Amino acid sequence: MSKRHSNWLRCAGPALALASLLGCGPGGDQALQPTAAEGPSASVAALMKERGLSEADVNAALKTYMPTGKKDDYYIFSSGGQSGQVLVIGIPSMRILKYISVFTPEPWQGWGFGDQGSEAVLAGGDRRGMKMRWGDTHHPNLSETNGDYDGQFLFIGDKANARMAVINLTDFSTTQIVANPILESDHGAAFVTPNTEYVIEGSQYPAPLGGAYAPIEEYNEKYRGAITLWKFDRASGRIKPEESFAIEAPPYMQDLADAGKLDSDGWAFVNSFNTERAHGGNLEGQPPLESGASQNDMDYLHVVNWKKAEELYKAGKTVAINGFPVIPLETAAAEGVLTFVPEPKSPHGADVTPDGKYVVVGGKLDTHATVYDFAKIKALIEAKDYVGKDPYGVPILDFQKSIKGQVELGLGPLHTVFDDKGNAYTSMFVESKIAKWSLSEMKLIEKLPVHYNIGHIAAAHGDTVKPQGHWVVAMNKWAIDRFADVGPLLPQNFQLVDVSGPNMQLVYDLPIPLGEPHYTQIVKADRIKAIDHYSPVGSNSFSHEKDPNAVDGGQERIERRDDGVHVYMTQVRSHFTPDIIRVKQGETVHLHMTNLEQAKDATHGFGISSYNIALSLEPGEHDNVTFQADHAGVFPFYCLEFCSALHLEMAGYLIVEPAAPKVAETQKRTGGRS
Amino acid sequence: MAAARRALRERAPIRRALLAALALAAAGPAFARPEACREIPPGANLQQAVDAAPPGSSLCLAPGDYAGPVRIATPLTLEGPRDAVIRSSGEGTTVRLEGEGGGLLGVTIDGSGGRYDLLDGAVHVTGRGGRVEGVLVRNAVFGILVERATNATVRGNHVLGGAGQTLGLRGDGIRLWETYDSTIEDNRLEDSRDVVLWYASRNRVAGNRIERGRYGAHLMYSHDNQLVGNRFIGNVTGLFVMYSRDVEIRDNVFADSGGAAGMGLGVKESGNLRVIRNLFVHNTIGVYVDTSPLWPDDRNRFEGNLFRLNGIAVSFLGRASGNEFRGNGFRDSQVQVQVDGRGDAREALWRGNEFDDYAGYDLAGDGTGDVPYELRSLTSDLVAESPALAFFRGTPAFALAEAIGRIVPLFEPRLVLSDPEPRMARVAWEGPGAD
Repeated sequence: MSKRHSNWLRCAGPALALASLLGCGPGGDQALQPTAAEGPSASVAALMKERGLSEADVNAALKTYMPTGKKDDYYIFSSGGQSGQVLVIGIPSMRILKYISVFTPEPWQGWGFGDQGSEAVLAGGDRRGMKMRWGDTHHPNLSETNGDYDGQFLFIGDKANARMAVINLTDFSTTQIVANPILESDHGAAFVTPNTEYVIEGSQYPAPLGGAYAPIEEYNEKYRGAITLWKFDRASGRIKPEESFAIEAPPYMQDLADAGKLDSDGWAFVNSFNTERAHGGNLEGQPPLESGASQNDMDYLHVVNWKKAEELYKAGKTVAINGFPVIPLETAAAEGVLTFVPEPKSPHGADVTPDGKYVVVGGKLDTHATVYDFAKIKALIEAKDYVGKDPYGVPILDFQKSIKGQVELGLGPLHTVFDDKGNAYTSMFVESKIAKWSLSEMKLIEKLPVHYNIGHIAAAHGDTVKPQGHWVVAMNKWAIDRFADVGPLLPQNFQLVDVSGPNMQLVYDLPIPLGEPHYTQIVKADRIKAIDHYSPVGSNSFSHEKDPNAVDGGQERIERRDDGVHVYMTQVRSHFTPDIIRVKQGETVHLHMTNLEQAKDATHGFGISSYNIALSLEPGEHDNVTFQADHAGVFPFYCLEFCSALHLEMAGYLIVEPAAPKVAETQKRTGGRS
Repeated sequence: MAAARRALRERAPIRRALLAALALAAAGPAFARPEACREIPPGANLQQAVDAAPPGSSLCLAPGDYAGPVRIATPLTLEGPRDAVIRSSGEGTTVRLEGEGGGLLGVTIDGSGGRYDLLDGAVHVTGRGGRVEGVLVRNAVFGILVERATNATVRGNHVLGGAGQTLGLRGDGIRLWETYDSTIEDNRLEDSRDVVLWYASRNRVAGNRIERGRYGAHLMYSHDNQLVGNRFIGNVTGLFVMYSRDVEIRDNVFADSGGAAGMGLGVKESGNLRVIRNLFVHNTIGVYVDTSPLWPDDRNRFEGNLFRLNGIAVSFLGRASGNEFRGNGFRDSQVQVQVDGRGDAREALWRGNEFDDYAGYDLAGDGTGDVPYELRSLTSDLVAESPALAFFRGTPAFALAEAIGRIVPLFEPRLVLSDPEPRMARVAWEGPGAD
């Protein structure tokens, strides 16, 4: 009898007395066992009885509870879904630490409410001259060095508008958004190569590339997908669009992606669905898109040789579409850049194992995870051993010759992550379970119910070359009955699972109440080197250098120039200098504001009534705002962050003197009285 | 342990009955042979003969080999004895039945191409009212595929799947996609992957025997279907009903789905199911109910079913409300009813069910127990939170924990369900082939 069984028997047997309660249960720890039957154990038992808690509940609470001042071991960086943002959560406490504003204006962080820096970043994501101010963030990816998270940058794609954002993890601030010039939507984004040479952005819904028009009847001929490789420059912390390119793909719906690592470095794997090329028309005698897209039994795993693609790009074997270099489909097929392997239909994850030797694919409607053997795939490609070609000439490998095998897991395997003990954890959408299985033995070990309809799954460093184990997070699409009722729109449910013991234990439910998250990554807290203030004082939070308009203490002033009124203002607890700004109606106002503080957490906000301006000036930060003082009147401004005992007094006035009014208007305003 | 042995002994008659029923089915159903037909000798060019035949006519094959593939684009019937064999060329689908009202009767289809991505199969029906009857399918990746073919008939066929292949590498035995008002009857499927009804409504699936597959049958977005008198034996999952409403599931046998994901009937987000007089025997989970029904006024009715020898007879994920259990028999399962995720099954309606662990009495003699049946469980609580403890199900250690839970009111054993009118008499199962 194994140790855990004997442990359980000890707990379940006659020793099931109050004093031993805390020593029992999964992962029970002898050290927790009280020494006396009186005291804490009795009160704990009373609490348990009162709240209806089991020993497993108490065990879970002890694993996750964070007393004040104690910090989490891991960060979760989570997609914020339709909020267009990124969430930061701590493990094991599951406390929400931050929302990072990315694609959507957010006033607390002064994101997109006047500050020129954030407005410029947001404008980088505008498309076709249209101001885009929301996004659907799906898959965050941390920058990697040698295939492991280095904690420096985070990338996240916007599925709705095919955009990519770069977040600097020194100040948890978005520094760049690029709009994909050839795609209308993405999904295989963001996925980084092992040294963050490129950030992969794969398309989702085919459309004519580059924003062109073609009738939907020409779907097969004119609609296309693409796999974009954004060049990332670590030194500047920026994507370089001028060194980026894309690979044209057939009009299938490309889905999740993963970059190869170690043995498979230089390659990328992209799932697809709808190789049927269904495109709707349910009022026109066609099956609905969803039905048409699941007619076939298999879709195609796209095997992409991105090193080869890079060579072709550098050799100029591209065509320019909307000014962006694209390797044409026929070139990609002929040169071995793009090869297909059949995969079970409607797959989701294409997850490379930590050693880079295998790719795990789940089919949402399958009962198995399929494990592809990269060495076999590579050998077949090198030998040009194809079973056929798709209608676009892309070679197809034999399914059976390409796989290591299949593991029966249950219903609806979706996405797979890994731990440090050679185990894989697959989310089982249909069954609402996590399946833990052995990669080496290709055998199911254990399943854990989760609530409900789990989508992605994440593990600590679980998609890197060095998974750390211990924690897995189930990202459940539905919460149904898990939380207090909040109307028909329900939060999502993140469930934290302890996988450190022999059995998985569900230990925490966290509602996610703003947007539907997709993927997350979990990184060890010590990898993140965050600053707590900007230095020197007057730093621009995007360049991290002193802003040309930075204001030193004592240099506050108001200057009138040809281009308008320049206000050089400082903030320090608890006043603005100057605190009265006098301008004339119609003048252009340039606010240059420096928070002189260097103290941790001494952030000042700045909001002016009726002008839609909200800024966050973190310690040492400088912001610039330009606006037209079109509305005459008196507009209080005040500090938006409770900064000191005299915070409420940290205020001032924008006085906009009316332009010489017409007589009729004066009469109207005074009600005709003189 | 003794209980388990006794239970195993009692299982034998059911097995025998099933085998008897199977023997009956294997005799092969009769189909209406064409009255007049043109004889096509073995070795003839079948495609040429098909192309030359006037629409509405029939071709009769003789014992011997015919080379496939053949595409029947007109309303044409191809008939022959079992030893008339249409062989695959090794590529593509072997017989395509595209003409309205076309038929393929009696012959053997041997093989198909090997491409899963192209749905290489034995028979592919796309013609309205197509008929595939009495056909033997062997060595093919997919068996009989029916796509967008309303009023199709697939009857009395025998599909031999890839017994040597792992499950994931086999094709579907029968597959209905966007198919309505069709009949799938008296077929026998062995070792194929799934029987699929996707986006397929108002169909009748009756009297089939489906064994050693993955999903015995899988319904997705498929409403108003009837599944009657089928035998789902030794599949990973017997029948899985997903996103579907108004499905009748009656007089079926769900047996031997004993693997890690083993369940007789799985129901996910589906409503208005009528699950009546089925036998669930020797499954890891007899019936798995995952957040069903989902629509507020939907009801799932489970009536007159017999649960025997299951690991868990009925398992709920999340809430149990909207489900009604009347007159079912619960016998010899290690756990009668379990709820994952801390709920209980009290929101379901329980009336007149027979429970083999009912300790009450019927002094009134009206066939109904005088005190309610109450299922209380400490252990299922523990098991739900620590699935490894399932190891102890049915062992003395576990029974001990249950007993301690009852004696020492440390944690009051949780009330899982209450049936105010427990049935005293045993529920007999009167489906096909049972005694």
